[in-house]
Amino acid sequence: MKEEKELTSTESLEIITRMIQQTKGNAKEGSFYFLFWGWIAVVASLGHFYLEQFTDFEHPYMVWLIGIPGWIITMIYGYKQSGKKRVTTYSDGLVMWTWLAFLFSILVVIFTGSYLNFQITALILLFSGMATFITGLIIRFNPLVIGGSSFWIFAPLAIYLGVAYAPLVMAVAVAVGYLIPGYMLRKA
Amino acid sequence: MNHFKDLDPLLHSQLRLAIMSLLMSVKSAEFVHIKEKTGATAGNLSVQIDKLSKADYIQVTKSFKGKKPLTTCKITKVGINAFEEYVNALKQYIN
Repeated sequence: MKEEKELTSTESLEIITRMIQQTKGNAKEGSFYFLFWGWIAVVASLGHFYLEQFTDFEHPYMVWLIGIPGWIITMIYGYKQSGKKRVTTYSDGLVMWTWLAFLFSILVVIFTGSYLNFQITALILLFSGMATFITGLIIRFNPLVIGGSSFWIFAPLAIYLGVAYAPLVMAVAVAVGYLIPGYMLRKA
Repeated sequence: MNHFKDLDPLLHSQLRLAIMSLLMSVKSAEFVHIKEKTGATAGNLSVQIDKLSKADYIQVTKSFKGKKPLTTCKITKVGINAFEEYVNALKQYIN
């Protein structure tokens, strides 16, 4: 770019618009989290359902402990990604805090489960849907907004079908609300 | 070009305006990123960043990423106000 050239107002506007548009579209890397957690949730809910229905194992919900290494991998991945990043946008911070708020909310649900008639799955679905919906709005990616909204149908369904079938609903919900939009985001 | 005498001369320049517009829309950006997006040469970009920094329009932080020196730029409140005034002045010319 040459420095000396006198600018016209149209040229000025053109520069401003072009530079602002440059900052769009680094949302794609977020697809890792949706795919990674989507598959953890599908495997864990199907495992949970199988152990509960077809075996005598007393603590089928224990399969969800795979979430712990999941969080560790997420944190390592997030840390490495932030090192690679050469620009920090406002939306990055908003998305991160949305999911931390989600994490704190589901921790409350998990630890108070016995007072909630063990409707843990439905409540987790409700929070996941909300966080996905908000993330979709922040990064302006409609499949995530729609995927997140679908949890407002799956969550009451999980409640009506009861605790025994809730993990199955969860598996379907995650496939629709996380995995499909996640793959679309990766391709976008 | 008498019409433009009210426009902030610090912003009314192709490269400086590009830098400021870019920084308006992000929280912070590294030198390499700004260079890539504006297509400017490193030398010219350094000079213009220096001018903006001296006017307190942007805040420049120098650190290290591993062993490589790292320059990060961030727009300041003064810079945001100047940019908004510039855009408002621009609007008047267009109307």
